[in-house]
Amino acid sequence: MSNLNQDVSLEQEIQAADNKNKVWKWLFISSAAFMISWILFPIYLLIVSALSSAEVVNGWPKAFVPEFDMETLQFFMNYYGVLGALKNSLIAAVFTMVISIGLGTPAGYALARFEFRGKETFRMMILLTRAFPMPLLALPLAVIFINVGLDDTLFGLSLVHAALALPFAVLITSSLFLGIPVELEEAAWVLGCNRWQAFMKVVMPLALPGLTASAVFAFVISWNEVFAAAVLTINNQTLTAFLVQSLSSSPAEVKFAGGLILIMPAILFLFVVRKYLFSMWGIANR
Amino acid sequence: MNIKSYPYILIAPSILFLLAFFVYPFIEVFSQAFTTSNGEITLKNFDTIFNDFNFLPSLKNTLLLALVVVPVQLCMAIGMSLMISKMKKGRDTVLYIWTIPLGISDLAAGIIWLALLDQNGFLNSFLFSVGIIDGPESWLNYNNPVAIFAAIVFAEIWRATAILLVILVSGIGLIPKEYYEAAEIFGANAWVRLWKVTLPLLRPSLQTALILRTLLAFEVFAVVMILGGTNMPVLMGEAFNWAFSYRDAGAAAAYAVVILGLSVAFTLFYLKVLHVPKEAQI
Amino acid sequence: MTTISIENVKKSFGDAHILKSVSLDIKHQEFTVLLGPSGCGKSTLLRIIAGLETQDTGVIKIGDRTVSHLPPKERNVAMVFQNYAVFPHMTVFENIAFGLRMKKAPEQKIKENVERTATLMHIDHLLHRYSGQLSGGQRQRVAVARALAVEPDVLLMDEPLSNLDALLRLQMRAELKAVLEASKTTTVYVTHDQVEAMSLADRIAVMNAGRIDQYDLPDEIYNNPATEYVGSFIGNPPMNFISPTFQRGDIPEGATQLGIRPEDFDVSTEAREDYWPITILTRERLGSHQQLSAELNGQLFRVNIANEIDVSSGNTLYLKPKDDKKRWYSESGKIIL
Ligand SMILES: Nc1ncnc2c1ncn2[C@@H]1O[C@H](COP(=O)(O)OP(=O)(O)O)[C@@H](O)[C@H]1O
Ligand SMILES: [Mg+2]
Repeated sequence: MSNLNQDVSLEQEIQAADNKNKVWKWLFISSAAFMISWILFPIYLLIVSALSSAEVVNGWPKAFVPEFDMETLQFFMNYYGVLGALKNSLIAAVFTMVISIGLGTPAGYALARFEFRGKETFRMMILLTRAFPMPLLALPLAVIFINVGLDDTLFGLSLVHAALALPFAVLITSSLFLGIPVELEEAAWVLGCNRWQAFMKVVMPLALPGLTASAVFAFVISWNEVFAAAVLTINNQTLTAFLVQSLSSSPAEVKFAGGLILIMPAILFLFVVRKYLFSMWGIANR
Repeated sequence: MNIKSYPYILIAPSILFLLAFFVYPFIEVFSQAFTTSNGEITLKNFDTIFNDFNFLPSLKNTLLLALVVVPVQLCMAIGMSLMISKMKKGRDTVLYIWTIPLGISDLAAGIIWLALLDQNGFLNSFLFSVGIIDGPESWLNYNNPVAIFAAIVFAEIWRATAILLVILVSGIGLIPKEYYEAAEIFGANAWVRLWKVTLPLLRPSLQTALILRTLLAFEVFAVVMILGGTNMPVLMGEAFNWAFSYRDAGAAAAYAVVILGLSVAFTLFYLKVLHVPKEAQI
Repeated sequence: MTTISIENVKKSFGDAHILKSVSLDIKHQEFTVLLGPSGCGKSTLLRIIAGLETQDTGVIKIGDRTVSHLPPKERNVAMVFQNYAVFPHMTVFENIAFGLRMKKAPEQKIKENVERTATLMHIDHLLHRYSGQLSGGQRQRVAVARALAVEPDVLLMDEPLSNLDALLRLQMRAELKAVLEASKTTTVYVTHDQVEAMSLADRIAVMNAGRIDQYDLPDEIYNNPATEYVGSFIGNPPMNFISPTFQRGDIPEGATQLGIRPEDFDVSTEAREDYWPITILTRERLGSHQQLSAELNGQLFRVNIANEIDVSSGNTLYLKPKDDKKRWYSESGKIIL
């Protein structure tokens, strides 16, 4: 009799634990789903806005599905100054990418492969740059650039953007190279390569995907940067500078279309680099 | 060439570049802030900005924004990163979606939230369709500073939690799971494990994340321009106005010095409060 | 003639003197094993021979070429690394061909050498695979084939077997021995495993904290350890060192320790004249023999005895070192001949 009772209570307990687990699981999944829609829904609504005609954008009330009307995007593209700004954004981003990866890769290699005096100081200097609001440095540079003739140039702007991206490039590439066993290089040296050949034949092919990812990262940093771009460019505005400075004058549909154009490459690139994004910040942690 | 010189040759370009575009402008900010245009040392620029009617509001708004946004984001990011660490199926997809805002500038984020919160935006359309309001209603105007503030808070939380998330997820990844198993065997439940194992071991990551995020909060600019316009001054926006609209480099530099000072103060604060001795790290 | 001559090589990392004046003359076509505990500087010495590190002072010659300051690629050496270092982005074929391509060998020769060495290492069916598709043992084979393919003057190996599991290690050891004997390449091989050293080496150099204590034939190293250190490093269990208070009879002048191997005792279960009555602490049966640890007046003894002798811990056993196996060591730990 007592045995039976025990069995029943045990069963009840299992049942209760089971229910508790189910509740937890349900809670878990629904909060994950909520957070997913919290991120995606606003983006969706931006897309709806950008893919609707001007009347709908400025109309009332709004529909929650897109009309797939290209009018707004077309209008945006033809809006005075947009095409130029788009081109400028691209150019500045490519410059930034080239400068920061070009300078950062050798430094990252040095950090990964050599012991030398001042290494820690250099690393500290790199980390220190992150303890400052770097875009602010555009303010003094705006004055300096006038003196050296770099004012209102995309090259000048990308120098500032590269200063933003370079520390990341150094840290990311250094962790990339650390991830490639030094023995692979040494094996190449022993088998007849000089340092440069070994780097090109062994290290580069292995680091290339990671290098691409950090280049993309540099691109996005420049593409998204608003403050320095707005301070440093006047006639050669980038897209972000253009949008910020024409906020009051441009119609809503231009803003929304501009927003869509702004986030598209970023989302795309993030997808490409998602594997590395993680390790990039993982090391940037130390 | 001596092999000892290789590393110096490799880092030289980066060093020169950072000297030119980080150290030098950094010094130059101070010299512009503390001198007149003909080189005399002065506090005039600070006088100018301190006496400007926008200074105190912008300081207040910036700090308040950071104070509200950063803790909320931290809690959210901790929760989300714990969820990520528990996920098996779909982990990568969820992580990708949650980190999409990483690639989105504050300008674009502002535009996105404008689409939602605008007078004839989606929020109002929704409220209208369920019968709460009768027509377009403008939330984001100067009569309604709380609504503007709230809108900016939402946009900032939406945009910039991802950066904390990524840092924390990778930090959690560094914690060997044996620690949890050990804690569990000694009878710690999930809640105790969170407070006694995860969070203490996560301190270095929390430190990095908080520093980065707080500095970014002081740099808030474009979101505010879009959602608040001139109704909600912030430090960075004022710096921009002085530089761009009023063409006063000295005053702009003074603002920059204020922001830099705040950043340094908070960085030091976090370094001290969340200090973890090297021996006690994983 | 590919000899290797190492003269007075010293190397420090910061304040740590890792190599303290090492000299070694390695003969043509000989297989030399650098043996020592981990951290004693074996890899550093090997890497100096390869040119991967530069010695602080001293001279390295390969044949009659002084290579002290040449970069690795000009030394005509090949090296097998502990983690194999097989290039992950190249096929097995390209890995093996790599060195020859760098030397701009004609395509015909590359093909021949790759095929020959791959066949030798039994990986000729894997030539089109990538290293990610290979097991540890197969990678090991690729690494050896890649080293042999360049027909180096000197082959250097740094603990090449230590990442393999025990069984595979035995098999590879036997194979390596056969292959390298056939190739007749002067070889320097680093290991901390004395059994590996004994079984592979023509000659063993025993390293002790940055010095070479003894460089000799394996049997000599075992039978006549030049220092107490060598005696206690080689042999399982190591040599006994017994203080002279236990000694009767002739003690050579200056001797402070008697060295005797565990198997070199006359053993008796009954008391005898000149025998030490030792108390057995532990007994382990190892199949082929039993291994005892025992004690007398604070002196520890390790003894290997035949299975037939029936003793157990707590018993007393009587021991006497065999006269012809006694080795005497001076205060400074050097053998007295
Ligand atoms: N590049 C280096 N920098 C500093 N110390 C080193 C370096 N290489 C080796 N060492 C030190 O030198 C000692 C000997 O190393 P190694 O030659 O690798 O020993 P072994 O191969 O005998 O185990 C170790 O204590 C190691 O820490
Ligand atoms: Mg070693």
